Amino acid sequence: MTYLINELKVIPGVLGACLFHSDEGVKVANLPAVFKTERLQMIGNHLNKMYAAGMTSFDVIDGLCLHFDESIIVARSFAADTLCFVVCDPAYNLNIVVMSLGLMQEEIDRLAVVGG
Amino acid sequence: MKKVLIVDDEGSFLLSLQDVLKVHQDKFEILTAENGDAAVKILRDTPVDLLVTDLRMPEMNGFELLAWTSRHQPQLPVVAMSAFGTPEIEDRLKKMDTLQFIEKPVDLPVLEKAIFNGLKAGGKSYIRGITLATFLQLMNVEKKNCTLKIAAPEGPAYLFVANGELIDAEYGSLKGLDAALEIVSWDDAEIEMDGICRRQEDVVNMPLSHLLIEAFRIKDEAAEEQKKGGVVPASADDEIPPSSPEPAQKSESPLARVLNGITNVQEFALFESEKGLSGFNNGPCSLQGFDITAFEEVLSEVAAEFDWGGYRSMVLGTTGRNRYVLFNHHQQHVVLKLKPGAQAAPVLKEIERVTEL
Repeated sequence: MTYLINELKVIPGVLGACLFHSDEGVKVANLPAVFKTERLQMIGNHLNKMYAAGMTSFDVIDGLCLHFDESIIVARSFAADTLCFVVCDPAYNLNIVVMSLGLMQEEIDRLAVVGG
Repeated sequence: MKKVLIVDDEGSFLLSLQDVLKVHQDKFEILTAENGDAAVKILRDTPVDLLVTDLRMPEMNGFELLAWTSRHQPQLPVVAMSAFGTPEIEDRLKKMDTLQFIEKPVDLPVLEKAIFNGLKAGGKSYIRGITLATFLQLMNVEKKNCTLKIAAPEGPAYLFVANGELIDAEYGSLKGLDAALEIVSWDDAEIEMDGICRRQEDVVNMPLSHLLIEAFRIKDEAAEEQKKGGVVPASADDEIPPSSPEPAQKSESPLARVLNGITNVQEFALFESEKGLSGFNNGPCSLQGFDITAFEEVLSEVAAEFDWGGYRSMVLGTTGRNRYVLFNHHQQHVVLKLKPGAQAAPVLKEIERVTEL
């Protein structure tokens, strides 16, 4: 799984990414050391809550993007219990990040088929 | 007798092709031209069933010739030849289903097959001249610089191509990436080509292949959405009754007036922390019952725990293709439902610009 998020990290403006499981917590991450596991855990939990809130209010949510002055978090759910979030700086290119997450989804689906 | 026009600047290559293709003289006649200008003269005077053209030629090159056919003979099937293709590009172009692409040096059986396919296709839709996306892919193969002018209902659209990559675009009020995403998926484009790229800065900042995938995804989803929107309920009983004939809380606040005037905002609702719903858009609004508190709580926790500067906005993408945007404006929490396919960033910028005035 690490190689999947490593591909996200090479996109300009991307600081790193994390695969987060709602029960098991952080599965894999390649963010700078300042993002400690507990911090990633907290982000993952908050994003899960937002996803859940989004699901009750809107159609099926297929992506979420949270903008702060100094950082942007792009998240995508890959299954009912797994999401990937990408931390970016404001100079990032959303379209490329979203497209790469789409490709990652395809790869995960493909691996699931091969594995299963 | 069907006519095939082959355009290449190598006279000897044309002669040898004429020679070897003589075996098919009962099926089609070969016409030749050594550059785009000569080809245009033939195309003007003679009905041609298939155009086979090299892309690199002096005087009028293959791209200019293709641009000319897009304006004057858009249904003409085309076989493009290039020495700079790769299997990946060839595969990509094949998927576009609009023109056939063969690599140089030309393998005769491959060329014969392409000619027969092109002639068989005739006016059928699966090979029908060149589309803008195919044209751009070919530009990408050849790493061309140019400015393309495309005729469109709301005035001309412009694409600026540098080294084969689309670096900027303009169409009406759309600019940069938004304009590029709108334009590149157009069918039946009438293309005019200027051999100089008249922009320098890469504002699109996305590889052409990614851009095309994204543009066609947006287009497909819009078509699907339109299809869904056009479904007529099976009976009057199936119709959902309107929630109320006249909204009880139609907002007249300055922000509401601004939001009502933004084309890409389909619906909006304004909430205040203690008061709840304080306003919404003109017309029906599905956001009135939105539970802002669930988001408010999590967002304030996130903002307090992480040192990422102030919270600006949240964008939620849905499988229904509508994006939802949440942001705060003074004491109000704003929820927008954007029109299908509309991007959040330009809408937020517009709101920022107008509310600052």
